[in-house]
Amino acid sequence: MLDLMLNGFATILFSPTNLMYLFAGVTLGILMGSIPGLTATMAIALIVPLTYYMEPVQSLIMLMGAFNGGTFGGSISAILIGTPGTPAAAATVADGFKLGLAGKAGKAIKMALMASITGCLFSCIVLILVAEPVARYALKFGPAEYTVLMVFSLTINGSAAGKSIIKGLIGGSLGLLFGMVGLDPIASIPRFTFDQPILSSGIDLVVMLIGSLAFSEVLVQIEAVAKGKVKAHMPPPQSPDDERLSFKEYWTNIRTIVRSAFIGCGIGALPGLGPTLAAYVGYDIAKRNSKHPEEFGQGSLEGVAAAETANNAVCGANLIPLLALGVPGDTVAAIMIGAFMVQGLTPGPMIFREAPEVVAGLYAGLILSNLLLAVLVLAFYRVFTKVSQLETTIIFPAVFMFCTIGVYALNQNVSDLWLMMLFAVLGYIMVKLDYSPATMMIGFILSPLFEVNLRQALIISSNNPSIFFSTPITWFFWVITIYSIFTITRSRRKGKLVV
Amino acid sequence: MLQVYKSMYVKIAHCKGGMGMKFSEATAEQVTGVSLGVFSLLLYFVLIPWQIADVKVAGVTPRFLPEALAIFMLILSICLFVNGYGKRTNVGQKYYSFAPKETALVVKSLLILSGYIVLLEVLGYLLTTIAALGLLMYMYGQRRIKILIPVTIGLPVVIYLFFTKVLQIVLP
Repeated sequence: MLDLMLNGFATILFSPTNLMYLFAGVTLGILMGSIPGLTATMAIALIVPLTYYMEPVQSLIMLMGAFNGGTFGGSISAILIGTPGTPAAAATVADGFKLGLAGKAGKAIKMALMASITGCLFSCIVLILVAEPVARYALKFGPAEYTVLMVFSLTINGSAAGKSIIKGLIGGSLGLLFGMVGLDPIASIPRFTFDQPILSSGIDLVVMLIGSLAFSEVLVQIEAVAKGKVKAHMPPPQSPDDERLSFKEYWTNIRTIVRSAFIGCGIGALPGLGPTLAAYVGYDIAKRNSKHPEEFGQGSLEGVAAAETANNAVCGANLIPLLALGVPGDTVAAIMIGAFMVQGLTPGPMIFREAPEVVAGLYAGLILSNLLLAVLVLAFYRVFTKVSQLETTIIFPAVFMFCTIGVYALNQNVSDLWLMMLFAVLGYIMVKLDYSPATMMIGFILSPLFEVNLRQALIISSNNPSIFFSTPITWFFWVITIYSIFTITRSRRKGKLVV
Repeated sequence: MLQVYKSMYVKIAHCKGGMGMKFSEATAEQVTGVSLGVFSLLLYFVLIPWQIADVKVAGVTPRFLPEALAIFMLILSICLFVNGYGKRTNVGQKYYSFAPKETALVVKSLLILSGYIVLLEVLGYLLTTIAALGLLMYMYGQRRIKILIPVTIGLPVVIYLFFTKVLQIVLP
């Protein structure tokens, strides 16, 4: 593994092209993350069409760089204009914006940066240590085990990601249904194609992704244009110290940072949760354990550190179920599955045998993205602060254009654009009515895997459903599915789950 | 069922400004529950028999999972309707708003983008993108010429050059 990792680092560091893609990914991520309304998810959704023309490592490091940069980027606008650039930075607003108003925006951004880097590096280490052993164990899984694993993943995603369990499951079901469009995976007969050539090979993942996640989100955001714009009113720093973050200030908060890193990793590794919840839980637990809980919400550096460490610690951890089991933990992981598939790779336990160099490159890219993040933010901090204040009248039309050109470039087919619009409208209505397009997307990605494994299991057992209860592994997944639903339902009743 | 749709129709009709509506969470859940239920029945009785041939293969047929999903969605739709019905007397429940001004902006954006898609292969990428970008920016309130012109011309040109020269993709 060490050899592979060194090879992974060498692949990136000694190749100017690879380094350039990583640099571009991190930069795009920070830029989009720092603009309120645009998210890290949207950044990577827009990058996916470009990855058709890249090598696997280039594609994956660019996407992971964008995710890492975008998750951090959200804190810039949270601190400067009191509006989280991404939902994951919502918990940062409470203290970050107060620090900004006190003229300490530079200090707050640097604390957010250091905390984000620590969180992400910690989760990278966990990913490297955990993913391969889990994958080795997952090689014992047969179709029945995989089917129950998919049921677990679909149920948890549906339960945790939507505003209500019913709505989450409806989103997941719609995704499963859209995933059935095209040729039947076993009998090879057309299903729901309506004699349209564009549907005969199924709905293109990227078309649905950009339509339902990126385009629809901008449609929701442009409503804000009709209501007015957001402007920054930051006072200048009172002293040079307000712009700096000392090592002592970082070290004073190290206990909070490490605790939040564990929380972010734990939440990131579970399907259906994600960085927003991680940030809130990290912030909440830090407040409860702080020596100065009264400072939380009034401009506490510890609060910024807690939230930012936790949300960035999700970056590496959410790759654990993706790489080890082939199951996306959240929307970003779902998009990453798409990026793997574009490259002809299938994430899951076999990837460690089939393409170990790609996995090592991905690990190395994620680690190096943190160094680039630090360099970029410290060097161009003022540029990013300007970007976070860009007018929505420029940003939203530009994103529309990126969405359309990205989708058109896939097959040079206008029909893809109409399909994208259809999913954009569906996604817009879903968001407006508190349904989660992300659950639909995850259902769509899992649909073929779920169906193939389900049908193979039933062929093996001569249509006897007891096969889904035949091994300890299937029982394990049934038990954790029921336990997770119970826990999520209880948390919702207490009003603790904010996703 | 008709009562639910009727109550929603009344709310739409009473909304000032035309293209907007506001309704409670209870109404929304009942309406979407009924709509999803109707869709599930259509899926089971019309779409699946029409769109999936009934072939015999080993294990379960290609219709099995879509049919199971239709039944599952029907159950979810009933749960959603019952959930909404139970909330109808709740005070302080959430209201969903499709305000006239905001909704009109979304619809106009979609119309401009639809026109853009129609004209893309007729007039070519550069011309249509410049026109659509300019229109959208103007519609969203951008009035400064020194921003409008450089962005509407510069951005499409940069995108065009990137895709055609760097990625070697032919654009219309």
